[in-house]
Amino acid sequence: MGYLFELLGEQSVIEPVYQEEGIGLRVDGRITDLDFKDLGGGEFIFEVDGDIYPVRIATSGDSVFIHSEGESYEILAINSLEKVVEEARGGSSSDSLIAPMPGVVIRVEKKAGDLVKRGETILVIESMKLQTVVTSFRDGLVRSILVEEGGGFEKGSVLAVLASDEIEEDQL
Amino acid sequence: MEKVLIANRGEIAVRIAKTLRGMDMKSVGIAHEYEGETPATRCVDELIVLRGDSPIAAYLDAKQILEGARERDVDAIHPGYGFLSENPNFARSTRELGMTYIGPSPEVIELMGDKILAREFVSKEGFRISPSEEEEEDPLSFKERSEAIGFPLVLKAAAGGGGKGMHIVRSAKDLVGAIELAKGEAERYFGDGRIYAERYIENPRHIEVQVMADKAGNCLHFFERECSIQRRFQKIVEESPSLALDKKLRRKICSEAVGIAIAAKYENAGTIEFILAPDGEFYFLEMNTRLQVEHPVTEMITGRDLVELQIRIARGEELSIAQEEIKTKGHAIECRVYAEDVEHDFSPCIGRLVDVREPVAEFVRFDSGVAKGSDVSADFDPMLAKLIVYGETREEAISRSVESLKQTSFLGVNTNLAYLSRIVAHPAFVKGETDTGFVARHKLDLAPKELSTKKRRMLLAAAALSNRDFRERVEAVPEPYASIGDWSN
Repeated sequence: MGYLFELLGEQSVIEPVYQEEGIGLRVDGRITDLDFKDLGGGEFIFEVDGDIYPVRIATSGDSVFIHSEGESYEILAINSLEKVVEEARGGSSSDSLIAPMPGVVIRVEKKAGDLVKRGETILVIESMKLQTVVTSFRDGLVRSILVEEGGGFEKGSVLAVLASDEIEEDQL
Repeated sequence: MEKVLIANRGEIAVRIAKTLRGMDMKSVGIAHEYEGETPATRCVDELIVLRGDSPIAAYLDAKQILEGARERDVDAIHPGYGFLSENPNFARSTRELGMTYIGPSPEVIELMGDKILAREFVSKEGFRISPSEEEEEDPLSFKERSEAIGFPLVLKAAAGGGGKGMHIVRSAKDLVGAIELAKGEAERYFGDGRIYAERYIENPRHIEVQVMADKAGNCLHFFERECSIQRRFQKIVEESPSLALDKKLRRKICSEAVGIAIAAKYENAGTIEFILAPDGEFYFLEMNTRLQVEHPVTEMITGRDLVELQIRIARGEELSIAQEEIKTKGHAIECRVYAEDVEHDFSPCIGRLVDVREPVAEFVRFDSGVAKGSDVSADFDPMLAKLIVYGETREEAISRSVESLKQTSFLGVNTNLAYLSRIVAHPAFVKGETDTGFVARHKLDLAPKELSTKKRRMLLAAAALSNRDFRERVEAVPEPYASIGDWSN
């Protein structure tokens, strides 16, 4: 379960890691040793990989504002990765699987002409050091796969296209 | 004088109301109907709600403000700075309606408001303006007269402005060509080929002198302020005293300021601005006929309340102190906090302040016009607050300023807070190498440092844990992983 945040124009994936000593966070693919103390009134002390940062935090909607060492930052919560993938599809009316962010193709599991069930894996991509399984959002037929294993893609690229219902019926 | 209308908003309205309260006088504030509650509306005894298409137009609507003042039986009006503070008609109308205008006469506001007339007046009275020669006077001798000014000099269009049609000439051999060029450009840009030559002062210091004069003609100065640190031709850091003045030069520049104020039959608070060349020569730039944004710097080192003095003078009291009694102690620095994006040419930023932390420390004064929940809109000047810090020495004032700037935060909108601390902590600033070219010269040093990957991870982790959606997902996992740390927010 990854979650997408944006800071200074760059996006990062954050996901919780359940460890014996408690919950950790994987940030940009790296497990971050994390501890903090809530001092109240929006003041915290964060300890990350041995460094200590006193911070002041305030939130407003999807924005988290953090003041640290005289600088202020705004971090925008974009969404959970699953939701991003879902939204990138533009709803069920679209036949295209669109890349939610730039990345690399790890594995292509289906080829053109394959029948797929809703939820079945079509390909696996890696973005921001985090692997995401791209699944079919409906039952149907894979019309084309537009990327290759090991190949890169940009945000918004079409990764694969499902056949539209009519063609699907013809084929079936 | 019992009731005073403050024809302003933001931090200066708060600051004026504070002195009025201290003097047991009633204050009346103004605000536009769309503004809602602000620190300025909360600190006055009465409030006049202005109507109008835009908030800014309302604050400039002299008629509406004066009508409101009359309805509320106001005795006097304090204009603050900006808005109507240098509008001679507003000062005149206030008086014609039988109220006291806390400021100088309409005539002197008019005179000093016209920069060319002001220069001519000051020069005619025998004070120094930067040496200049007009071509029109005698075109044939213009080259010789210009050379006599010395190099570098700048050729300017008489009808010019905004830096257009200006030519900097660094040596005699370039002069003839530059004159032709400047004349042609003046004609093309402004349809007026008249030009003049003026001494070009590179990277001068901006020095201004606070004066205060009463109706009886007593005029005192409250020493200088140096305001050389500017961006977009606007001051952002001011201090007093200036390191550039020794005892002799200070006496000279302050007495020149008093001389100009007396010659202009000035009354109330005013500021005479000079440019100080690296060679120690100084020239009249302009006179501001109002209270300045940076007046707290002077208050801090002289221990005088300038607004109180303004009010006393306006109600006819004579200045009861002698020049020798005005002494300075220590050093004061003011930093102006703006809602702006320092990385994008200091363009103003807007937003809602979701959290505000003011510095709490001895020797620190924080004049703010906003609070948590305030909307910073594009309607007004984006200055949020002023941090004024005192030190026994300049070094102490600097280190306290850096500390206080780091403590202060306005979350929800971009500010120049970190930029200000980089300025004040800069070795060149610490050494007193301040002039109007400072910000441009140290552009690279003053740019934000790149974020380390470790700090980036810290910020992202802190943000994730502060995000409700994220936390709910994380904590949906059963014990023993139900919570992280002692998170409870």
